[in-house]
Amino acid sequence: MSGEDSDRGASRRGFGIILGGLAAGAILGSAVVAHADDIKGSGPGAAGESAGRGSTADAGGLRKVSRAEIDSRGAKRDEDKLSDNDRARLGGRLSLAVDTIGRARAGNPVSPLVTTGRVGEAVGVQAPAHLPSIRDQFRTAFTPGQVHDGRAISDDLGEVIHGTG
Amino acid sequence: MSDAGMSGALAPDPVDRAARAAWSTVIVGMPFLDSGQPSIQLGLLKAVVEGYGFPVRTLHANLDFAARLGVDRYRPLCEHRGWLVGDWLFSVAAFGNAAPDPDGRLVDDFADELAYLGGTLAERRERLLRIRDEDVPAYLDALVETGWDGVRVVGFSSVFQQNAASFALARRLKRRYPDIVTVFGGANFEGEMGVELTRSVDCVDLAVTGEGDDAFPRLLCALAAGEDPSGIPGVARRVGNQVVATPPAPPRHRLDDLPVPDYEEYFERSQRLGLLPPVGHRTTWIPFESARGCWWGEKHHCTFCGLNGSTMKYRSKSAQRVFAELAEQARRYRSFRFEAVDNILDVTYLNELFPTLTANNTDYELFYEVKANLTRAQLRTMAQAGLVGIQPGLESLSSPVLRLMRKGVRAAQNVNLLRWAQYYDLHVVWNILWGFPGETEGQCKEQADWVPHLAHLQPPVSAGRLWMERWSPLYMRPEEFGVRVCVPERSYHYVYPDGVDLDRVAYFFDHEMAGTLPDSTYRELKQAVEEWKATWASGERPVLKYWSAPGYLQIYDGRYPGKEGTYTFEGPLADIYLACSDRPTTASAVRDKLGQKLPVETVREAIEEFAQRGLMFLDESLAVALAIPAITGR
Repeated sequence: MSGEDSDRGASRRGFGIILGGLAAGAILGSAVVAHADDIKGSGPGAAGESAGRGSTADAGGLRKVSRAEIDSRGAKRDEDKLSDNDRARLGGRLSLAVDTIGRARAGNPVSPLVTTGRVGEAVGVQAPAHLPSIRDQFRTAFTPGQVHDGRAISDDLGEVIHGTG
Repeated sequence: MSDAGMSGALAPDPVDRAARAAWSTVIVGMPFLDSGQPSIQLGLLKAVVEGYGFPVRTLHANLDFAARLGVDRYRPLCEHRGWLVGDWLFSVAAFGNAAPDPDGRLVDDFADELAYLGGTLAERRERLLRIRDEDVPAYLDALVETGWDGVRVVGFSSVFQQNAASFALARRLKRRYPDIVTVFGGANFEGEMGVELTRSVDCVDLAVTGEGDDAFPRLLCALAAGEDPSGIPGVARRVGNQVVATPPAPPRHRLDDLPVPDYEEYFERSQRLGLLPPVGHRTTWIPFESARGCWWGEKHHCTFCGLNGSTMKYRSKSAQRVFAELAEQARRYRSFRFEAVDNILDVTYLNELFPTLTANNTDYELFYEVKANLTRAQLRTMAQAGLVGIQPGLESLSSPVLRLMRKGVRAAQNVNLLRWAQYYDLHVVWNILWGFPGETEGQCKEQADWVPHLAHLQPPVSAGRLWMERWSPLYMRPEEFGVRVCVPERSYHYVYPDGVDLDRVAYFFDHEMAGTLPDSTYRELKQAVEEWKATWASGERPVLKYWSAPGYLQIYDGRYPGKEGTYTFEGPLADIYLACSDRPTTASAVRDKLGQKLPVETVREAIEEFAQRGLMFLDESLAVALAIPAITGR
């Protein structure tokens, strides 16, 4: 699913994704940063490592994550003890990851780092790209795929969770 | 006679007390009063009259009929105000040989309108005639059989389709107990309707033609004292062949002085008839009154609204009083569900009542009629306090049409209310009305075009042509609105005898107005609404929701089957969308809110792009986001 070219394209853009941080102390744990150029398995947090182990923070305070961590977050979507809101939040974060990776692979610029600004609720996308025009943003804004009950179940998400590494 | 204002505690002198003790009174609620909850009219009047020292009880006689027919067959007859099928069922019992439709023509002549009752036309005819010819007489016979010895006054509260059943019981009672005095009141007897019914229906001895909580007990006091009631404001009575009616007194100003309604008999009777289970905790919606009149109507009377015929004057109970009343009723009746019968919410409750309910950790569920301009913050305040249902006067998705109605809200506000009601999980009861003079085909088409984009919001209960109601500006000032024809709605002719002047009795009127559009114009809008309703009725809940972070926005669009997907917007586009989320706003206001970093033309372009995708609702210069936050309860 994750072809060499696509991953290299993502790597070139050097974007990162913060997933997690759903709530301080929540079962979903602390903030996770996914750098697409690491998804293939290079560097700290490589595929196969247990979630959070071996990860290091970069200069921006972001942390690279492994494929296993993303898998872990995806698996938590279906946990019974998740509240509807947490499930919706996680769906949103995963959807964000899917979208950002997809946009980068398609050659579209992705946003600079954004966060909610709340402790324990960081979420965002890191990329050095410029913003496209309004017209271009609308042209590329739509990604088909269903989301049910706050849970992303599109093929794209499956690619991120199960098809990389 | 000591008849001061009251709080359930009057102190009649000993002579009065003895006289009043002899005037046993029963206050009756007949079919087709809803069987699912007690009558606030009965409950309040009972408490009021008791405070004057009269022995009084209520009789929710509607429950007996519901038990006889079965609630599933009874309640549909209550829910429809039009076509008077409920009154028709009791017409023969009420008027005997003078009843206009002994052959049951109504069932055939209104075949389409009565289709909601189910079955084929032949089955409906057979079923309705059996109810009329067998169930109704048996029910009335059983009703008069016991419980009337010593009763001096029977008060009938009549709203919607309760007239004929009330007349039928009154007729039987007066035949069997000739000394009983009948007193009628309620919305069906407001103003000239009460005067005409007193004139033309012989079992009506007296009528209260305005608010009854002062006039009715004063009337009882006069009867007990053997005095002439002609000096009591708001009472009509026959004198020879004439009716003498006094104008109502000014409306009661202090609602805090009213007693708490007494619903004991409703619950006891419901339980005895097997309509309510004998359980410790009840889920009945208990009606309560916190205000009368309409503060909006005092300023601008909506052109179609026939409520508050006597006075629009707005009055409300103090928040402290409402708080105490709810607590008392919850304890008395073991239910935590409360339905306000007010026509419009007192906005001061947003700062007083609702925060108090929240601060006291009450577990009530509340229903209120509200004006549609409530903000997100206000809805949140109410939802946190237990509001679970609202009836806002939305009426249209077109601002020009809303102006024709004089609603005082914009379409964008209506849509925004639906959004935040959805977000805070509030059930919304609303309608789309059309048929106002001056509407255009374009306005109708525009509404129909918007409907698919609103699929994630709660659909209206109905969409149709306005009803011409007595007391409405359309009715009261026909020349102003180009009303050419205004005659009593035709089903009245199937209920009332010839001697009743229907022009003075009817509440609903058939009408023709200049400058209105034919039904065919609304076909597309009606169809769109039917599809909207069908989707929701099927259990589907189309979604349009967003997740946001600073400068970043995702909108999941699940409104169109097979075309689901996620929009992603960043930077200024995300900011623009979010700036239009809390409330409808203009492009200029968005620009200002965002620090004037963007030209207003850019904002406008973005808003139009959002609207083209059905992500924003445009209303002239106003724009409002259509998606609602994915994370609920904030």
